Amino acid sequence: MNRRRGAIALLLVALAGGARAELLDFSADERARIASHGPWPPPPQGDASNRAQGRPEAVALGRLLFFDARLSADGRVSCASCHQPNLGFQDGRRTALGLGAGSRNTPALPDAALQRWFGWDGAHDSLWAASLRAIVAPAEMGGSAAAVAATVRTDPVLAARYAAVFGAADADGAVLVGVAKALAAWQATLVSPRTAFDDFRDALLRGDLAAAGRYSPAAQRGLKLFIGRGNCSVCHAGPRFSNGEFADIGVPFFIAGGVDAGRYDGIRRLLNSRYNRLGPHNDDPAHDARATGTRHVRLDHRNFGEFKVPGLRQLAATAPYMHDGSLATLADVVRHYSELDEERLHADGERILKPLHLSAAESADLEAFLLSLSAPAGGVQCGGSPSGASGSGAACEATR
Amino acid sequence: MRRLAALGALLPGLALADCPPAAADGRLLQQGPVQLAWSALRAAEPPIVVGEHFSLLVQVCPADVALTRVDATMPEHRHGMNYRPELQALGGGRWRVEGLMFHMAGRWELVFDVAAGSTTTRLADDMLLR
Repeated sequence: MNRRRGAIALLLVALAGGARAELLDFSADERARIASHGPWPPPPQGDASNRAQGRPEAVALGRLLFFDARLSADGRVSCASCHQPNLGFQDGRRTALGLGAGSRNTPALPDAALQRWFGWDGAHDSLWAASLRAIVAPAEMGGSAAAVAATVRTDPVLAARYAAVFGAADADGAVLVGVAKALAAWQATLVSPRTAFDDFRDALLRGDLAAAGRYSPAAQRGLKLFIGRGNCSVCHAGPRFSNGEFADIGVPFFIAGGVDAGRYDGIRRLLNSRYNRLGPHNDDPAHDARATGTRHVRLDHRNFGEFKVPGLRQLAATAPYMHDGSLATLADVVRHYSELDEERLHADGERILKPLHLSAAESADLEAFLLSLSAPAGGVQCGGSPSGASGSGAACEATR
Repeated sequence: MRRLAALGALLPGLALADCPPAAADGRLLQQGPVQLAWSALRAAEPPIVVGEHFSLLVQVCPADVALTRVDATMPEHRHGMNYRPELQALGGGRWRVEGLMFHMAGRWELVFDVAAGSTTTRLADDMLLR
């Protein structure tokens, strides 16, 4: 396809020193769409269901626990085994490997506090419930409430820190929930850094055309595709580039021994869980606006084979892609949408999903835009350091 | 009168009809003898944002008919919402509808079913969410 560069008006912006930057002509509608992907970072969000979230002593405890392999059945696996800070809090594997082999790609953790649903199937409605599941799932950490509680009680450092947040470590089940809530408190501090896209967006909105023009022309063209003909922003919406919901995009859901029903099973597991926001472990159900989703979620046949729409920030650090890790590179992802196999989509699925039939140049532009949503590795902000300050990169690795 | 009706919505037993609905009650719809006004509510502005839950306040006239169902679909996308709204009668033909969410930008069709005896009347409204 013709790239039609000549049809796109360019603003040539004079910069200091005589250099020129290229700024494509973005319509008012395009500017509004671009504005909807910010600002970044967003203000911190609390979680009424978790009384520990936002408390510095809980964040510090959660950070310790995150790197503690004693939470697993055989003492080999910690949260950080799969969510590795130096790999964007992912593991670089196609599918997760805990105590056993999983069938899904490990999700990255930055910006998790902004999510409504957790896991590719959204079987959990809070970060703490998702953390608890990982501790006790046989194929992940294989732990138990009794073993986790024993670890907390017998380690003087953990016991003191736990008591400072939750009080005495009494009933095993309550300690397991407390540990999960401390883990969530730390994970909620993980925030993706600002990117070249954010600088472009903000400059465009304030009318600083020179600054906006520093955004690469390829990324600008890719952005036009993303919010325009590609329809990508229909699902990859908002500052996180996700609407937080679920979709069937034609990625096969067959796994060894059966099928991965995705969201369909996720909703059933969510509603059957005593750790959801409607259950007894919600710390403030009367003020938990986020329980609305759990209260009203609807199970439909079309949910079969749907998986969560992932956020796109820092995606350069989190290959491979898709719920099953089946696409190795961003170029593969772009090709997937360009050559979308409509035969794989649900008969009652999303009608606007069509193959984009991108040219090689358009594919490169779209990939350039996607890459502009990532800052250099190690830029993720985290809290809970011994000094109490937030940090990034190596500062987010284990400390005790 | 409207202030009294709003007070009635807050105080069960003091339900006052406020018919016909006015522009101040929200977007106005009419199908035969049934009139309806709806407005969206959310903790922050704007009231309807992609991927955020919101509620509706609905005034139905005549006030003795029942709002039985509220739902929304994206006709071009061939799907509806991922959430099932719940209806709460506030009295005087006023209803509160909880649990809606438009999870994509685009055209949404909002549907209200109103029952009077064995007759159901459907009122629909279109909106384009950006």
